[in-house]
Amino acid sequence: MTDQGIVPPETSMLRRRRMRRRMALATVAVVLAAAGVWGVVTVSGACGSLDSGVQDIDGTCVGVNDGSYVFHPELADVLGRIEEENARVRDEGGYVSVALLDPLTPTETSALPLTSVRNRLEGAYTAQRRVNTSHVAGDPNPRIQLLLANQGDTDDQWTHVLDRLRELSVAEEHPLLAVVGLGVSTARTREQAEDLADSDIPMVGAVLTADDLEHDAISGLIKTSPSNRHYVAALRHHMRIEGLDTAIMVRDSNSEEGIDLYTRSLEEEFEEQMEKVISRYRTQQFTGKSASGDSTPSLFAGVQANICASAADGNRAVLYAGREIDLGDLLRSLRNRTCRETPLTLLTAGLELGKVLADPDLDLRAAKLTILNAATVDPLGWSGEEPGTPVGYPDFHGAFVRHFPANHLLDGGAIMVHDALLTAARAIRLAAPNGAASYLTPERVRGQLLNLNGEFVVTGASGTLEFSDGRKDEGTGVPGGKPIPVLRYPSLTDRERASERVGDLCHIVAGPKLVACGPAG
Amino acid sequence: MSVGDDRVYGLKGVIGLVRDFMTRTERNGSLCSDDQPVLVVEGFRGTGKSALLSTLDDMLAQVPHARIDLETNRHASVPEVLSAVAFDLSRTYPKYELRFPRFIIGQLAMRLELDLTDHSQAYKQVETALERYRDMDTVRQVLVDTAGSVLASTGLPIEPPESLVRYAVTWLTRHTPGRQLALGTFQNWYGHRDLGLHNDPIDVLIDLNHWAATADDEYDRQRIDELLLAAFLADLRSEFARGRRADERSLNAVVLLDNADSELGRRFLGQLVHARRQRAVGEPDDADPLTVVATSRGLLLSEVPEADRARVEPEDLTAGADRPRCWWVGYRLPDLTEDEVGRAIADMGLHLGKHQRLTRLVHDLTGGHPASTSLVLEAIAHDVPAKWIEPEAFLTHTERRDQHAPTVAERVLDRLLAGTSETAMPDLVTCAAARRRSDGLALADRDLLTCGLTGYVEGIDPLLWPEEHSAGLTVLRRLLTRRLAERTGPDAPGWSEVHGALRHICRAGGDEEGDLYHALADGELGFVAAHLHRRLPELDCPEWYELVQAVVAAPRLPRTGAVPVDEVRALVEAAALEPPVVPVGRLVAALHVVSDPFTDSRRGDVHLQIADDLAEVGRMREGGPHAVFLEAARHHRREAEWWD
Repeated sequence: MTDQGIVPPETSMLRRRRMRRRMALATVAVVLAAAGVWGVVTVSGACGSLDSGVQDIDGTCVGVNDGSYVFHPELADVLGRIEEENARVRDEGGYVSVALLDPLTPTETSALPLTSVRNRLEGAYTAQRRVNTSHVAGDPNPRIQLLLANQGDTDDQWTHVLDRLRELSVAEEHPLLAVVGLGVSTARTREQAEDLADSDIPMVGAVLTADDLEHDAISGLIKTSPSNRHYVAALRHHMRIEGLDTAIMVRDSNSEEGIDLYTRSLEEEFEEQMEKVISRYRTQQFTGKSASGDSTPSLFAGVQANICASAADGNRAVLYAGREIDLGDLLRSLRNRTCRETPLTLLTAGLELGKVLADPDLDLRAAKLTILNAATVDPLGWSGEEPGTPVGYPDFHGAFVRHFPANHLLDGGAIMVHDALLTAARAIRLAAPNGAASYLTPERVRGQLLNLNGEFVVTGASGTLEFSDGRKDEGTGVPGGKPIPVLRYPSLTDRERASERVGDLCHIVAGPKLVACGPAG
Repeated sequence: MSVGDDRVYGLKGVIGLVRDFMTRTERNGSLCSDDQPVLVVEGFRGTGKSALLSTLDDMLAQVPHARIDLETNRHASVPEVLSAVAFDLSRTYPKYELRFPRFIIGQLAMRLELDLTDHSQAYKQVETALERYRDMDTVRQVLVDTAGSVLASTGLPIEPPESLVRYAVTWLTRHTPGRQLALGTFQNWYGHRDLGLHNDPIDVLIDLNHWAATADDEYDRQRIDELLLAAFLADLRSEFARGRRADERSLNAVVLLDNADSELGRRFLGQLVHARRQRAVGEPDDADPLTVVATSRGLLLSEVPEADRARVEPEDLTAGADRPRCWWVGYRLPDLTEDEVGRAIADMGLHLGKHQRLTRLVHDLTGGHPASTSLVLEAIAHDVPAKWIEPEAFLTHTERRDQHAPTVAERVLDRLLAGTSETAMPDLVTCAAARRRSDGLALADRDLLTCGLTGYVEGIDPLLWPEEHSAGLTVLRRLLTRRLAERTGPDAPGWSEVHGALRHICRAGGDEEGDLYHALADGELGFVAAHLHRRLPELDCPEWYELVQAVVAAPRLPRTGAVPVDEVRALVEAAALEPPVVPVGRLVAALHVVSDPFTDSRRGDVHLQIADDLAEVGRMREGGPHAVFLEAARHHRREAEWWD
């Protein structure tokens, strides 16, 4: 009874009925809410469209995409081209997938700067177009759909990416058969490679120069770039020619942490192969930005002082076991060194120096500094078809410049990623001799990685590469025949050129000798 | 028992009781109704019985209910009342949508013109007619037509209930030709009647038609009532269990029957209880979902065997108290308590700093009789006392200040005497002066009444001497006594003649108290004072004081408007009392004045006077003042502080 009247009270049956209804509604509501939450999370966490495959994790868009998602505005052009080629491939059918696993959202402190990322993508696109439209990697069937996997920085990010790659590798249709690129030589890269190897997904690294990032350490991983031991072997060869018998080493302390495998293995190779050269001076160290991101030039003040101290002792060489991103700071520090009247030669390996040396304030000649870089590629020389230019380079160059500016080749990234994708495509075609996409699995492709030799060499832009199963620790999966040009910055012969190849041209060979050097051509 | 326009006092308990009787119980996953008694709400005229039904009517907006005044419709028949009830219950309510197909079939059958000389012909006629009647307009009109004038008297709109219209449509859609009529279940009910009978339903309907043709026969009327009531209840039971919302119908439908003392009321309720009892024997767990609340002045239950009825007292109405389980339950509406009157006055929001004084005066005046209280408060609301509180002013108040409009006293009397013949008024006025029933009867015997002894017994006695006392009766007697005081002329005995006659009657009967009472009423203060002074040493003090209190309850002639204490002085002076008698005389006069509910609120001085006189009278006793005087004196000193 209420002031309003006598109202039939609720019965327990009604309450039960209502409870059932409410439970049903609650269930629906929960489902809807969950769907809503999922939707919100998905929408809010989605990068691009909901089906882009790219998701915001820890503030970075990571995932696997076909080029439709623009990871960075500067990448829009090349990504659009890749998307277009993928669409074409899908329209034609009979295709399989290869993923470029690379850092696609670069920052100021990334090991790979934006331009490098762009160039690598352009190289990948060039390779995709070439393998899908020519016989550069054998029968153009099955065609290759190029997927772009942003590598990510955190565990959550790359776990997400790898999970997706694994899913794609077991897809019944158009499976992912290989992963190429794999960024640079870091501990995270190694973990990713190991993870992918556990899933039997074949990998072709583009610029993985760390010694332990190769097939002997990670089954299923081959690479189109030399390892640091090959670089150092080539540098040693040139030091002897240049008469540099002492050197002071500058190392990145990130090597101790095991974060940067490249700097660590380079340091190790310096220590191993140039033990006598560096033994006279204490190694100098700094903490590179690629790991911490907050290094400043002042950190090199002490390094510079000791370098000058060694110079006073007659030393003229500095072995740099660090990344490009820190090299500029070192050079700027040395530009103002107390011993600036003493010319110094800085030797390093596997770095792309274009961006570093583009700094107008960094005039190496004025600073009496010379850099000898054991490089993966020599775009300037190869574009001029100088002696030692790889057989496959001219065709690649022609293909590349049809779409992109030639100067995008200078950092070598485009060339190396091109060769990585070309190598993967060659292995895929080898696994599918009749050109059929059916029945292709990552395992079958992986089984062909070390058969890329003999009749099935890879005519890459960076060299004619072959991969074979050698003896333990003698270079299984390293790119046999890969030339290692040693480039000098600045060019002594042409003031307009940033660099020039110097001395003999070394090629990777199997066995403990590591490289074979001789006159180019 | 409404006081004011929107406040209800003193009804909460009985409304709770109604609700209890309406509540259905959950058993085995379904709702069931229990056998509930007919609740008979009793009370004097103006006690609030109809107000209770009005309140219930308002409160039952979400429950099917019907309200019928059985006095207004006293010439109607039980089937007509049932039709009106069915019509009202068929209105659409949120959780209820009741239909009465069995009952309607019976009503239809009664209206047919059958060839009762040829049974097979009559049989076909019934079948054909039922099919023919299955059209919407007919169904819509059945309840309206068969309710006669009963439905019109409810004052509610007589639009066909939507449910019936839909029902008619359903009938149409269910139509299937052939002998097995579409009315199927409903028609077949007449064959078994939920009693396991095996009659041919059409035959029963033919019988019903036959009984209706000879409805002057009391036996046939009873059979009609019984059959249609059973059909009505069967419909109710069936409808409550029907539909998606059956498990939400947690309250019974309600029938509110006003003035059930009429022959129609007694017949209707008697038949209802008879049907329930029959049903309860066979199906004890299948009671009809109908709660009946009837109002009565007492006659209805007086004819019910004691074994079948119980009484609920106001103190029994607490939540959770056990409710009596029998076929009838009586509940006497109590008068308003002083607190309830006070609450009503507080709710009026008067800008008056004398709420307690006003409350007491009003309650003393009306005794808490709801209708009288309501009218008095209405007068107060229109004419708020400015200085002291003058009850006379309340009673002489007229609506719209029209001198020809009835005063509050006249309106109260109208309520209390509603339905009483105007010719009985003079005798009522005369007899109202009697203190006791026997005195009134003696007046009739002394040929003071125009109606004679027979008229007294039949008309006056039931009104003035009902079985149950109530405040309404007190108010009635007071107002009739005022009429007696106003009476002039030779047509009827005046104030002194009546009280004189009553004095003689009392004296003849050895009624000392009555003798003094009527003597005081007749202005014989000297006689009364002398008598009481003489009796003071003879009686125990408490006994003497009780005698005084009984005597001073005597009515007074209308006041002059003087200050009460001056009235006392004037009375004493006029009585020319001997000096030793003066304290007693002044005490009696003062008590007489303050005992008069028409005395205004300027009583403070009178109470002080009483306290002094009580002390003095107490000292007149050997052995000094008795405790009864001391206590009474203290009481009046406190009272003196209370009044103006």
